[in-house]
Amino acid sequence: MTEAQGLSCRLKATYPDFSLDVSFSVRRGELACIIGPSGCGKTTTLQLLSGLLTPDDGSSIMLEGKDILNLPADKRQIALVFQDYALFPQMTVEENIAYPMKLKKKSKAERTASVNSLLELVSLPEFQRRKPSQLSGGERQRVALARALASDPKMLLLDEPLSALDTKLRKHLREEIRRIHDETGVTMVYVTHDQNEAMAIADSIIVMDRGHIEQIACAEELYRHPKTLFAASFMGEGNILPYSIITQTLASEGNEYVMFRPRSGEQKIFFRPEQVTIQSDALLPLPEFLPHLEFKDAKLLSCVFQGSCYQLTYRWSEYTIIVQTDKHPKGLSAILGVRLLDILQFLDGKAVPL
Amino acid sequence: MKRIRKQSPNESLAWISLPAFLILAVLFLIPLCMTLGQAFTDGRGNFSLVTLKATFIRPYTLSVLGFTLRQALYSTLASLAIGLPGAYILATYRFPGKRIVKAVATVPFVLPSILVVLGFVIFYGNNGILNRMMMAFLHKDEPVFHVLYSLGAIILAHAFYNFPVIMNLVSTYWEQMDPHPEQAALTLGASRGTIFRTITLPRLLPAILSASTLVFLFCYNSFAIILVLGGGPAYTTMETEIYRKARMSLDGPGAASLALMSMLVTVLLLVLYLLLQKNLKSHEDFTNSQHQAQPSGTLGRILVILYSVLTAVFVLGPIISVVARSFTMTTGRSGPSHWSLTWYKQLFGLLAGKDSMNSAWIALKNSMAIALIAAFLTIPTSLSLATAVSGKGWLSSLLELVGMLPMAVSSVIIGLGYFFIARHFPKGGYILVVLAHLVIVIPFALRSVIPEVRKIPVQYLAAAKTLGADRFHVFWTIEVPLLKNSLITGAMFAFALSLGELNATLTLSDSTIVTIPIVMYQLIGAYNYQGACALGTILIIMSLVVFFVTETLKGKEHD
Repeated sequence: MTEAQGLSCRLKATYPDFSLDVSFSVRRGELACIIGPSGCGKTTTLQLLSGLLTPDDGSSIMLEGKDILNLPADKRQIALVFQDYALFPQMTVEENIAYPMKLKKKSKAERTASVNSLLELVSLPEFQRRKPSQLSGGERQRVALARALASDPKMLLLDEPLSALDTKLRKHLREEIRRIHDETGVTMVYVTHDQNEAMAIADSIIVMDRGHIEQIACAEELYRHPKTLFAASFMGEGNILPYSIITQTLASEGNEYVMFRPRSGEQKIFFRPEQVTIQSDALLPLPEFLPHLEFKDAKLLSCVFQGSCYQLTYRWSEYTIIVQTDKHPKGLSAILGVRLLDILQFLDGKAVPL
Repeated sequence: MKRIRKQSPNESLAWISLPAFLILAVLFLIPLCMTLGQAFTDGRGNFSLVTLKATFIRPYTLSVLGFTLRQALYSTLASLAIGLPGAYILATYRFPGKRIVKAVATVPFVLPSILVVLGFVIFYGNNGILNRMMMAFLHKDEPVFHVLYSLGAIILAHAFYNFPVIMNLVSTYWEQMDPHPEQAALTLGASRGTIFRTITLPRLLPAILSASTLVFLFCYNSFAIILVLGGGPAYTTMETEIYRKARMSLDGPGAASLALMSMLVTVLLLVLYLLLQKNLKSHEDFTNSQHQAQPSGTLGRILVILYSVLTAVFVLGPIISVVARSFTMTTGRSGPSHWSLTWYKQLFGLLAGKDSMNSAWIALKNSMAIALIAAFLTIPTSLSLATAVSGKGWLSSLLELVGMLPMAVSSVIIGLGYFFIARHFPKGGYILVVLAHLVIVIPFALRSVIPEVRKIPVQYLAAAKTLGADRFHVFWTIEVPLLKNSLITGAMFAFALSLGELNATLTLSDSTIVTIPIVMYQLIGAYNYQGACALGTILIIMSLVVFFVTETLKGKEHD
């Protein structure tokens, strides 16, 4: 634990059906996203950080150079924003936001001024007198955010704050959260199960699965160079095929060739749908000159129009290959090609060089 | 064929509720009008406001009203003092035996008031079990405490009766409350004490107020407990005064005008309760998330054990004493007692008994017959009322209010109304008792049926309709089977309530018709406690049967 600034932690916890062991750091002022499927331990991680749950021995939480592991939740100065907002139902918006300042015994004038500027920050001016029950979901979440910021926390945790909202509002609010982060400079840990949301707002992304961390990296690194097959497939669509198909499909021109090295263990190759070149005119060859894999006589199973592109599903041999293309396919069968450069190889789920 | 009309599936069945409402109106409104009519007459039967005016401004009446409100307030506070810690424990902790604590706490719900009275006399009396144990323990010859026949006894008995109401209503609300606001407050830097004061308590307040109003209403209308445990004119409430005026002073108009005054107060309380109920629903979003934890630390564990043991003694002590006492025979005034079946032999007419024990066997048969008839009549009536009430729109809201009206009118006042009718039908006896019981039990049966009717998704009915079933067919094949359990539960409650009914029966017939509670009342008056205990044991067994059947039915609910 060398970093003096920001958060650095090791969290261990054991439950009857699940155990968690993670360790990661977040720089001061950074917005880190934790993503993973439901049940992977994202929320547990936040609750351990905030002090709502107690971790096992061997854990440590350093925040801004101080060990806060043994502090109770109310002394940690880590605010938590809940998916269901958790506004105090009997209080008005103003009373909700003023709550943490009242705890700090700030004067009434100071509280009013802060409430006004916080409501300004979350784009809800003039909402002071409303009750939570009179607000929409998006408005409630903004109030919850303002209330959390009002406690002047050293770190702000957000537990799937947008997942109860509809798609359009979600997109808008995540940009708002990023803006609020940039304006306040507060360190944030943001939990979501939506990789698009994470890619849109995070400085760094922590991918979790079944209680452990798969990879920590920025969005682009994660997408292009995932360290595990799980991270690769969680960060977007992808095709997973056995390594052995290389021998049947390798097409290399001239002197360039690839060493075919079968190893013991589960050996897989992975590539993304947009990396597939497609030739659906049976009379023409595949326009690809770099070393690549060629899937001949792939049969079209479905074609889904997605606005900016088509998502095609092909059947080749016994495998399914998903392809993304901007043109409508011409026939029911096609030749598919993927450059060797774009292919990732995984041995027992871990990335290895091809 | 039929035209397609825009209508909610329930509306088209409005006719089904008509007979039930007619019956209820006749059963309830006629006696009520008889009472109100009496209130507006003078002693000779002419229209006059004299009685009413005299009643409303007489200092004695006002002092009775004052005492009624005061004892209800104290009793509500006592119920809160016992019930709220229980609500806290049930809502926040998970511990072995929690189900048992919950079940034990529901026992007073189904106990007839005369049985509670008896249990208190036996358990807390000067010669009661608690006193005898204390005397033996402290080596004293005098009773250690004198609680009977005082305001303390009334309040203690009311607390016994009503703390489970507070405990259940508040803990159920508490358990369903979203725990996240408390956690949010914690992460914002509030200590646990501050959170309870600023977040949890304000959130619970509507539930506490609503439950308290209900308890206040129960204590306001309490009768047997005041009559017996209060021990005489020193502690007179509106209900006991109405009874005394009607049956002892034979002052019909006076009793009726008091009844009118009492009803005005209860209606106000009921309106308050309904307003609080409405407020309750609008305030919170309920979640399904659970926030129960093990009792934290030794303190929590001690608290749980202490509370469980104390409630068990408080609730089960009087009941077990009644059963135990019924199998004993005392030689002499306060000589040693030994096991004996004498009281049961007298009860079942196998042995000649003294005083009222002679009528015990007839009372048992009467009570069973009355309760069975009332329970059977309850099923069709509550089915048709509930179906009508569950619809949406102003009509069903109005109907629900009408269905609840008998709750605003105490059973003593219903008894009084039937007493006035009985003067016109001297031979009406048993029939009038059954009708009075029916009016009293229907609102309670409705409480178990209406929520179940509301739970039936409209889609079921719509689906059945699209499959070709007409509205009546849908009612018989979909709704009635879905409501079967709640109808049986309602009828069981009706049976238990009718079996233990004393207030209306006593006011209506003043011992000319004997039922189990009336004989018990007479036996307690004659200090024949063991005989009363034998009858009480029969009531306890019946209540237990009702309790287990309804609990089993609860477990079998449709998902």
